[in-house]
Amino acid sequence: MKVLKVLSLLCFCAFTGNAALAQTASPEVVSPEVSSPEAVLQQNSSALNQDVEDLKQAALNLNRDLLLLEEELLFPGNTQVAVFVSMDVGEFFQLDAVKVKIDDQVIGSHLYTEKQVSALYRGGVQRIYVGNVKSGEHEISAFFTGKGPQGRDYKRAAKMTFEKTSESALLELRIIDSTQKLQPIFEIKEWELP
Amino acid sequence: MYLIIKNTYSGFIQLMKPLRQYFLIIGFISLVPVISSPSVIAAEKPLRNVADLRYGVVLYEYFQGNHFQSLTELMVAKERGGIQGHKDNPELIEGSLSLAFGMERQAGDIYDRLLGEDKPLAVRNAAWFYLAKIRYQRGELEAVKASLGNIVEPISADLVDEMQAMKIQLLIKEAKFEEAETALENVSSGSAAGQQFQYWRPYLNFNLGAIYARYEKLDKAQNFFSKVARERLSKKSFFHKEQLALYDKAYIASGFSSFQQEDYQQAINEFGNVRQSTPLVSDALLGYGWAKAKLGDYKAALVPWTVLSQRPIADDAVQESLIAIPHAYLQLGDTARALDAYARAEDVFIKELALIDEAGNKIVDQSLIELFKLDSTNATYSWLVPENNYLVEPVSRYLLPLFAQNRFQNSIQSLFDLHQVNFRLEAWTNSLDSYRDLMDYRLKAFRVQQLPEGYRDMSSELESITAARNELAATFNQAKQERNVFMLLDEDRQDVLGMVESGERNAELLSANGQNIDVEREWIERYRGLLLWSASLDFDDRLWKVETDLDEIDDILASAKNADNKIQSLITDAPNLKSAQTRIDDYSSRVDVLLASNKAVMASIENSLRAQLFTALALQRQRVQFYLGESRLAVAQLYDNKYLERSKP
Repeated sequence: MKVLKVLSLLCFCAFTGNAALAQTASPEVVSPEVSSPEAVLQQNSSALNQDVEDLKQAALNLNRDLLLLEEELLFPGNTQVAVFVSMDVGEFFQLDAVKVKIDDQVIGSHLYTEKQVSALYRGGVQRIYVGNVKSGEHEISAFFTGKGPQGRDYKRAAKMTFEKTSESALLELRIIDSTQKLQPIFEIKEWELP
Repeated sequence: MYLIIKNTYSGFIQLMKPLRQYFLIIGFISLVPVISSPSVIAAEKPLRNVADLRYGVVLYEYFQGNHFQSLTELMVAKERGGIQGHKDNPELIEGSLSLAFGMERQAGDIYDRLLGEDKPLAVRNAAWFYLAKIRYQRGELEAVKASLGNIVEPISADLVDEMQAMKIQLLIKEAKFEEAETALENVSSGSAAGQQFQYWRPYLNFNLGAIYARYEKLDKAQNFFSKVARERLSKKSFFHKEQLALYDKAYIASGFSSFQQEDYQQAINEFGNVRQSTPLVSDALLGYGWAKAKLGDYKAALVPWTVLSQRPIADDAVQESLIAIPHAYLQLGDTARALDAYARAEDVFIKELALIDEAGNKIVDQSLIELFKLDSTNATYSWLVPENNYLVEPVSRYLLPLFAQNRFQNSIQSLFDLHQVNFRLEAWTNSLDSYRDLMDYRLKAFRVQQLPEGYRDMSSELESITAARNELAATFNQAKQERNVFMLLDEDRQDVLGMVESGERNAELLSANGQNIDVEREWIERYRGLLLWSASLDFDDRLWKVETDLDEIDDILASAKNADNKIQSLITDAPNLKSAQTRIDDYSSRVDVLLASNKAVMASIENSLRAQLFTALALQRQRVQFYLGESRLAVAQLYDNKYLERSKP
């Protein structure tokens, strides 16, 4: 019966992480650096969680500041152009890839994973490119490849001329389902800075 | 016999195990849909267009599980005036993201702030609900009830299901069986709400079974486990992996419950329904064997136990099967085979002890980042991926029970998050070095292009030139529109026109003095006519000339303005460049400090994880040692019995 009790306690301990029993366990694999670890950890767990959260917050703040600095240094507003991709419900088009050109120069391309396409379907907007162009008139063209209605290979393009001013140029490549035409529509929209 | 009793106890353990697993599952599920819930993106589901691109970027990162990136995007947007046109959703999302990124305190602050302001009912309800979830995770059950109590009608349809599930779960946690049962029954499966509730129902049924089992109300427990298990049979759709695992657990729990009630045939049926492909099948095989043994059919019991004994030895069910097999042979009167089986068990247990020690050494010697294969290039760390993929052998063999514990999961998730933070900070260190070089270069370039002596501001001159140009353009447009040839005369013709106009004035004066000037007037008119005729002949040429002149003026003005802008930016950039340099130095220091703190906290988490790993290994060692001792004792007893038999006269 004694054996039974020990065994029962052992099994119970296995699922409850009982600290006291853990200390009675074989010492042969106990770390030399961490003595009576479970008890110490119970006490410090809450403090450690606080430390982790504080650290994450500090890292987020710093990351924000660094991103702002980076943008100011590398992509100042008077030359900045940013290109985004968005997608409607995707009933008529299954996106595989996008290629973007400005003034006939390829500035960005992306091959989408299932996860990324799903994020676009759900209302996410991808920032596909941030770069610099001179003031004046430019032409942006975008090439979309994927599967169209009835699962057929589908490749379409859209282009637009835009005027780069001293403000950042924000351009959205939009893939929209047209319920009237029963096929996808590809268009480019220029946003004004909020 | 002790094995049978032990196994009976093991049945209880099996009942408790899924309950713990449920808390893991519900904890996970309750976090995942937070942002995708239409209640959060209340006004815009389905979100076909965003009103603010930055909001879309935040969602894009979030939907891929990139919480750090998503939160940063949100913070950058906030710094630049905030996200426009999405009502309170950005703030609700910030709360949800913070929660998902393990920042409960921050999430709580956000929801508290939302509740402290005059917000629409839907937002307040959502805030109360997510506060309840935070409190649930902290185990503050009374606070959970209070939060849920603040949610008032009308409640968003998407909140209702999970809220009801949480309320029933609270009753289960408080062991209010009947209330929980009634609440669960009241969500009628026939109603629209009941249909949507189907996702939660199996988990709640399972938990009710588990709590009944814990309180030894086995017939009731059996009833609820059966409900979950039968549900699988009634569904033809493709099951989610997680749900299939739940059904397996339900069959096992139901089997042990039947076993407890000595309905061994029923137990056999239940164990037999568990899928062979699941890791949980070990418990089913063990239970199946013991149920057969209870019915006296040791030969049949040997079949599942023999299969089980071929599985990885780290599993405690497999360890028990190694002892159960010789026990069955003894019951069948086959002492020779029993001795062989004990010898094999002893051999396996000794090897296992060596492996446990090897695992212990690995935990001491190896970085846990490597041990858990935490890849900082992946933005997410999912618990849905099979655990073994994440662990280095042989450590992985002993850690499955640990992975079912929230504390262990939280620790490893924190380690992963901070490992990622570390990766990003180190990347920033390199970038900042490059930016420092860039600033040095720009400053040097600025010094080379120092403004020359005597430089004066040309802005006002450029403005007056532009005004003159605009005046000319207006004249041109008017002349073009009215086809007024006199407006675009060249200098010679302008002189002639002046003379004609002067003659006209003089003629008028003479005429006023009573002189006859008919002849002079005729001459003047003739000159005017000639001038008109001649100017009309090259009017289009004049138009073209003035238009070309205007274009040239525009080019010159643009070039002058461009040059002026460059000079102005040089003047204004100088202090900006210096300020950027200062910021780079400041941020570099912050990165260094944070990297050091990050490493220290990571070390603390690693210590915490190591402690948990050692505990798990120590328990495993203790169990294996026990089985080893038992098998040796059994062998000794067999020899003793044989010796005593021989010594009998």
